[in-house]
Amino acid sequence: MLIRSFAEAEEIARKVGPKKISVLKAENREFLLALKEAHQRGYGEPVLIGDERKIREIAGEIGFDISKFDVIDSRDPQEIADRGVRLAAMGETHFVLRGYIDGPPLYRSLIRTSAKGENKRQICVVALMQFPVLPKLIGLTDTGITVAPDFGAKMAIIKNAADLFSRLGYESPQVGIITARRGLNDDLDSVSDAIKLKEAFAKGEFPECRIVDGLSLSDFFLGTEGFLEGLDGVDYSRIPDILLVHNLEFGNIFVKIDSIAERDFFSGVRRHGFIVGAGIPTVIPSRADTHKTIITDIALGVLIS
Amino acid sequence: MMRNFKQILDWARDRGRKRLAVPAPRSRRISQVLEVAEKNGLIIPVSVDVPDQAIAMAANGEVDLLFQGDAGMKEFIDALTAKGAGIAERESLSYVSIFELPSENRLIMLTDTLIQTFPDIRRKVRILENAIGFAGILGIEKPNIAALSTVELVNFHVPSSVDAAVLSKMSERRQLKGLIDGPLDIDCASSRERSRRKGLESPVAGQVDIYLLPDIESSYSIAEVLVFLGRRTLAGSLMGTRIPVVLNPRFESPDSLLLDMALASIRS
Repeated sequence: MLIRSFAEAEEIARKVGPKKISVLKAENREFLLALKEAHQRGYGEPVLIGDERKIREIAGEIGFDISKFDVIDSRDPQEIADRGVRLAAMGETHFVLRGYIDGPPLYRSLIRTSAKGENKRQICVVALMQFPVLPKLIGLTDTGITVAPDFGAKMAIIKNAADLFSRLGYESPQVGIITARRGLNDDLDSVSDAIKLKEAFAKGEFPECRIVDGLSLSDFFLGTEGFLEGLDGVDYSRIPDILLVHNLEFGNIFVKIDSIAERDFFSGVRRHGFIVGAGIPTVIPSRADTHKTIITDIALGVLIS
Repeated sequence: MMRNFKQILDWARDRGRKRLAVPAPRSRRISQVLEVAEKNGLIIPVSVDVPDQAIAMAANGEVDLLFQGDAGMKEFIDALTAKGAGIAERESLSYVSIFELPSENRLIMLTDTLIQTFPDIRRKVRILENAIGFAGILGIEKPNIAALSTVELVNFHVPSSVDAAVLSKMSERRQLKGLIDGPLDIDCASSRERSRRKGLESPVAGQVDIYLLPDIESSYSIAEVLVFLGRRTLAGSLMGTRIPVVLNPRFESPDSLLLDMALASIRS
């Protein structure tokens, strides 16, 4: 089933669940509130890893009965990440939910696990974005791990993102490569990488997806030669499902672009993040998220695991 | 202080028509843009055969403004920066894109959204001087500037964070006009509350007039994101030229080009 909005993801997860969730550093009110509601909705049940005393204390405060769930007591971030990831790798949980833990220990655990697996692959962050103006969700990547991915890393990132989209019901997701090609000073690594990626695609390197024509949003919406006439004529269905960004500097700004005008033209933009490539479904809410947003992350975790 | 596009158009109209040299239009789009700008009292178009001719007229003071029109971007910039053209040096060029923020009734600038590819710190200083000069023309005397990066702390793996820290220090020592802070990520730069939550006391957070973007990959594409996903009209201005020049980037609509001409008129 193809997921076109986060609301759909929440609905479908009710039917797909329940699943078991490794929660990394669970001692946070918003996360526990989210897990409580997720449990009520039938998304699944958590294995709560972190400071057990605090977890039980907060659970008590919010009336969340965790007596039936496993709680693993640990205060060391690397140990927390390692244990949660290992549970998922052994199949005892279905996916990992990043709780109140920093990124690096989790990345390390995932990279180590990936290195042990058969398909050793670069990991990356895919941000799934919902823009009110678009008829579907789009994935931006890599928005979190590699500062300046080279050609090989970009190959892996595309495969990772395509894998995630196939789990969200997209049969052969379209991939758009974004560069700054603009008819001026176009001798750019992003452009030469894009040409090589398209050649690799033509040789059948990416059976799981389609790399579309064009090298920029202007290309996707206006064709490679067109000029913007006006916004009313823009056909938003032409946006590719997955957008590959050249570097983290751009990815990081793009993924948070709504903050530049959140009370104006970007109100209603929503995002949810995943770490992909280690073979372990991992959802990464932001620590500033409220429980309502984290519930969606959990629903997405249910769908991709 | 200019707070929205309408004020810019009104101001430009009050300044009277400017003579605008343009290589002979080939497209209906450019012909219509010129017609509308003329009707709006902004310009008197002066059509010439090739960009070089327009540039020569500009250098001789026979026209007030230059317009790329249907000429190719590379061809036109090359002609502008050719030795002896007398219009600009390539290193000094940069592009500022502006959009309206209706909820706060003010204008926001992004730079360099078109020209410099991977500007080093020296070029970033130039890009900022251009943008600060432009803000001054719009009546923003001491603009707040966020030097954007992906992080708030200096990280030697992320070049923009190092550049931002240097620019920020230069601002503190008044080597640059304007108040520059960085490195800031877009989230912190655009909200005082969020920057405080991350433990930052940034003097520009939530009140940024100019966003300095790290490189062309981010700046050009972010301009496109604002246009297509934010559905914004972007006005733009090429800076670093001896006479005002209007470009024709693909992501600018005819409405944008009209605003570009108004901005050029204000600068002339």
